[in-house]
Amino acid sequence: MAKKAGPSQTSDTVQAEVAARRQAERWLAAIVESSDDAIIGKSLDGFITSWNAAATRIFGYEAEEIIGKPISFLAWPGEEARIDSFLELLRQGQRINHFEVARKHKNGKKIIVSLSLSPIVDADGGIIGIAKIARDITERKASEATLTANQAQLQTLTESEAQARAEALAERKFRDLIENAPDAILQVDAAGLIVIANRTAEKMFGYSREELMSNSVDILIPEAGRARHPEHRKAFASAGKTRPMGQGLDLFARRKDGTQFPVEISLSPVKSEHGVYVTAVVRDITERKETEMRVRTLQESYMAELETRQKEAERLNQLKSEFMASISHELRTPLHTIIGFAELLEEDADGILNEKQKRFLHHIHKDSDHLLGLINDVLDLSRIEAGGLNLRTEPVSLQTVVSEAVNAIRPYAVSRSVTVDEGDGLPVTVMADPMRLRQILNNLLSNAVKFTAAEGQVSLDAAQDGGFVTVSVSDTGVGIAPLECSRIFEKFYQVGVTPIGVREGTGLGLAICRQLVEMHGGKIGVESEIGKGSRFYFTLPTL
Amino acid sequence: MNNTASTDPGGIRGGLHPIILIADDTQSSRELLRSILEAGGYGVIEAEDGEQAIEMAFASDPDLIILDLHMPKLDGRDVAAQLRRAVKFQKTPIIALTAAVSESMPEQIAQAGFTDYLAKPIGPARLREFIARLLKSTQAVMS
Repeated sequence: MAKKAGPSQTSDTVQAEVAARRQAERWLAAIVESSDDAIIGKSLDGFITSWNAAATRIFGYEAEEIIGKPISFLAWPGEEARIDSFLELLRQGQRINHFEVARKHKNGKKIIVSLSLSPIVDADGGIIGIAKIARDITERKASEATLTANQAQLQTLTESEAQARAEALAERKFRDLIENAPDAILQVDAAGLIVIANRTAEKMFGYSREELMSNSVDILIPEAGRARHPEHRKAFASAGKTRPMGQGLDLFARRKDGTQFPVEISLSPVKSEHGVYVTAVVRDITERKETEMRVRTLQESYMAELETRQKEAERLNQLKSEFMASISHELRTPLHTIIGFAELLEEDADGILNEKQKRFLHHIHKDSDHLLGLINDVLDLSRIEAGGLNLRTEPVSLQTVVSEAVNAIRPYAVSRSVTVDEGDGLPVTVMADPMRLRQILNNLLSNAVKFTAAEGQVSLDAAQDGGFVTVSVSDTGVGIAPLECSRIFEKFYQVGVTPIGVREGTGLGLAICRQLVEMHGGKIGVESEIGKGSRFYFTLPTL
Repeated sequence: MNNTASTDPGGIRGGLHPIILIADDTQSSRELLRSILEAGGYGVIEAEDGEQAIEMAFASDPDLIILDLHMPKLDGRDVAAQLRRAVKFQKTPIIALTAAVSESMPEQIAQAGFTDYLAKPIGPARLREFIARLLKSTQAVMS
């Protein structure tokens, strides 16, 4: 429509403007029409206002048919709600880009489109409509689906092929395992015919696989055992548990060349559609049997050797005892006369012998006694060690034996000016050999007196502790160094020097005491301090 | 040296000292024993072996017999056994004096018929004391 021309405007200019505007409109329209994508104009309440050629192509409707219809006309069932929410968003000025939705073609088919929606804004900023661009992506979607399906199929194929290959590999490995097992593996069918035989079986029995297959398993059994084998097989097939064959029996197998060899067989049943098959694993135990035989022979010879040695040891022990007995007799006899005559001389000495002679006699007497002590100690110790000394234990009153021992040592103590204190005494009964108990006490007491200087004291003490009583002999003597305390009970071990500077005794007394105490089931020990004195103690079981 | 034989059957000769028969194959042992016993006031007759011991026992009728166990011809045990068979020596104290002491000795000694035994070496004093005691108890039994 031409405007009212003003004084500054010519009708040419106006006409040119209008023509230009029309040109621009036609240009835009051409662009819209030539687009591949559907370009649809909508009103704010969702009615279709413009429709391009592509829209016709995609949706099947001509412009005249669809313009003025609501957009929900095109909706695929179920999509209506989304359309409404989109409209709302657009009214608020938002854009929707590349949204994939389902629409309905005029012919009823489902099409998938990618939508881009934008609000149409006028010069004042107000939203006056909605522009929609829809791209038909149905084919694309279909292709994608096909591609996915193909991929899946390929995957499945690849997987099943991999599986097949793995299975084949496993089977080969398994077959190799059976083939090369160190033992022969055979499988026998219900009729006793061989259906499986591994390489080891070929080597073990000397047959080729062809010779083994479908042959009766009886060819592998020595003639002697063949008769009963079928019934054994039947019994096994029906009972059917995996087990070693012929337990406790020596089994033999037969080679092609007729030779036999010892075997160990384990059997297991295998159910198949043709009945129960039996798998047998056969081990050639020739070597093992040989080794067993060798071991047995060795063992027997060792046992024989052991017996011989034991007998010899016993014989030697016996000889030793006999020797000990005769030696004891031989040594004592002359000593008896030596001591006897010396004592007799001493008895008659007064008036007949001078002081020097009396003194000589005294030395002879003393040393003879010493010799006797030594002989007795050595004999005692050797008897104890040979196990030939028996204790005659009986209930003994400790107090009584202690008193006796103290009385016996008193003369010696008096001669050394050493006092002996018997202590309070414990009215307890112990299980002991009275003679040996006296021997122990005597030994400890004489040691105590011997190693105590004049004016010193030896005292006894007895204390009960549970099923044992501890007897202590204490002295105020020279004492024993810690190093020597641990060795003092050893044979022939003699400690330092006595106060009178002479080594006395045999060095066996304490060794014998220890043996005797331990034979009674007790323990012996010593506590001491140099210069202060010593306490020897031993335990005995009470009644 | 007193080898007085007596026909006084089985007893202490009232007034006269007791006679002791000793038997040992070793001369020094015999001399020692004789000295010890004579010092104690006893009469002593000696035998050198078992056979002689039996002869002299029957001949002299001793009040006490001391035998060494190990002797040739007849040892102490056999002597004791034989003597015990005679009625004469049923009550006579017979002592074994020996250097060989074993664990089984006491039983063997008793079985052979000995009254008791003494182990060599033994001092004179102890020996005399032992014999005195033994004779006193025998005397008591006799009367």
